[in-house]
Amino acid sequence: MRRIFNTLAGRLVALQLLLYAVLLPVLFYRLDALARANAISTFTQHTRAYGAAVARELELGDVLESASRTIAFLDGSVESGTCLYAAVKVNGRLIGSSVVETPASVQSRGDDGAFSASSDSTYAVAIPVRRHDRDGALYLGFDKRPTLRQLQAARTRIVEALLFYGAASVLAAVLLARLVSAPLTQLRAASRRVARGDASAHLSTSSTMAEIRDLSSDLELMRGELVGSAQQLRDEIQRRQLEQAERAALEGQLRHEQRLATVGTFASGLAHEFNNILVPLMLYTEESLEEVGTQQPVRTNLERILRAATRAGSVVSKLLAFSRPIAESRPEAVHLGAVINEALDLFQALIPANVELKRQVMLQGERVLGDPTLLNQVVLNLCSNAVRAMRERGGTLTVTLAPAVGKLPQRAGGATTVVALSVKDTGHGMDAATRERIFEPFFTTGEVGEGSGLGLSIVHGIIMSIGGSISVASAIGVGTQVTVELPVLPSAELAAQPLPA
Amino acid sequence: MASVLVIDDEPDVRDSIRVVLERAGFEVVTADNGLSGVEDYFQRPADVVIVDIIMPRSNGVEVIKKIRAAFAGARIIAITGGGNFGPLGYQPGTIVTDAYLESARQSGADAVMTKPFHRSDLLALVRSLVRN
Repeated sequence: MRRIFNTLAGRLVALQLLLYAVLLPVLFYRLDALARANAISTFTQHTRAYGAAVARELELGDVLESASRTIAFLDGSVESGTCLYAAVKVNGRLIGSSVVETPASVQSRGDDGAFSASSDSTYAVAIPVRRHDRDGALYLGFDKRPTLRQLQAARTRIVEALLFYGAASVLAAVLLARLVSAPLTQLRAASRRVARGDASAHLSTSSTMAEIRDLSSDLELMRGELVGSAQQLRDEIQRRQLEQAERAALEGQLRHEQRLATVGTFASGLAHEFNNILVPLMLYTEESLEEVGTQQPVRTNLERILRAATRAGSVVSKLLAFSRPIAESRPEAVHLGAVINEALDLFQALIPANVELKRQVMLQGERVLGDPTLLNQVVLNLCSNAVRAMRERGGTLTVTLAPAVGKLPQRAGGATTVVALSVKDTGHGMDAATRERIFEPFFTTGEVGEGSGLGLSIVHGIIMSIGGSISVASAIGVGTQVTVELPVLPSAELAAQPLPA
Repeated sequence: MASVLVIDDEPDVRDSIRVVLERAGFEVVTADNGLSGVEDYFQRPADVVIVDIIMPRSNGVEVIKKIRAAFAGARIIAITGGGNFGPLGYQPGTIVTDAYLESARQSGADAVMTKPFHRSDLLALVRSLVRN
């Protein structure tokens, strides 16, 4: 009920009803009084005029000459339907119409004067009549009932008209409310769609009312701005998310590089210490070998010590290679495709029967700046790791060399295009924790004695030293793909470099 | 008898070189740092100086420069265990073995040798410098 009252139509109808409760009775009584006054005035004028005409006839004519003529005259008045009764008082004698009985109270009543609805149905009129200087009186009785019926009918019509007017205006109020609330409902539905994220929902309405049209066009303007700024916000959020992801990736890469650098520094320091320890070890052993005779059994042991020390020296130099891979290298413009083919030709002989080698070397003349021996080492190292991963189950080793869309940082005057060398196996793969550490020196997944664990760290050092990048993708049970990206030498730089024969 | 001055902060390195050279007939003087090594040389110039490059206090390159500045005919061999070293110790990507060796050459070393080395290489190098 309260809900209906709180709608526009409810309010308008309630207001109308309240107004009618006050106004309709007032209107009714006013209109009723007007109609009544009008009818009574007409009735009394009519009776007076008739009465006066009859009186004049009695005064001027010879109707009163004889009683019989008087009675006949009065009978005519009654029979015409105008009067209920008619009587004349002449010389103190009352003569009435013979058609109806004249009420006895006629002489005492005189003129009714006022029209009363309640008393009786007869309106009495008494008019003085002068005849030959003698006073007489005419008494006439008129029927009030037709007038009273007219009044009742008029009252009914007034009530009907007022009720019709009331009903019509309530209906008009409801229609008006509809006219206002229908476009508002439309706007509300559209704004709900907008709120749900439907940017295409227009806040328009078909209303012909100026205020509502203005409101809807203002709302539509506001929606346009809101949708625009929401889009801007979404774009901004997306941009920031991308930036964040990029920054996280960069930070991860930086942490990785920093850890490698730390490990490299540590390895370098360790190598330095070991080299210092190896100096007396080798010199004293060799000195002792000089002193002992060729047939003494201790000689064999000394030679073993010397071999071990020499081997230790080569391990340490590999360790140093991690932190200074370029130290002994002589970079030159290298035809990478040729280097890789050469390395693969060598490697072919080492591949077990259950591994198939696929070559996809798709480069013709591209050259990179690097040491061919070191690049050869890179290819061999990556390939032997790949084969080791497939040792048990066999599989396919795919070596691809192709131009790539690289993300290498631009060096001043450096290469703009990039080649990618990828070495892919279908071996056991590795988990994320392993993938994270494979470039660290001495990190190995192989069996003890199988490898030094220095291979990939040296590969990493070699690639970094010539401005390249190296990345690893791997999945357990699927395989591993190592991708090396190297900057291609532009032709100007190429011309300045001595080419290998 | 030819004399050799060995300057190295590592006692084991110093002593092992001394043993090898003395048995081969050289007179050997040792110093455990650059400053005293230069002092020794200035008091009595040896025929050959073997100096480590990476040493605390006065490093090998400084030693070579001082000796070469005063004695144009000095014969100097620079040795190093390699590694990445900056002025304050291990430093990534600052100075690598080659840079030290190159620096030693430029400041006047006649030969450079990386540790560890064989007895035969050491003797051959020292002998060739003494002969010249």
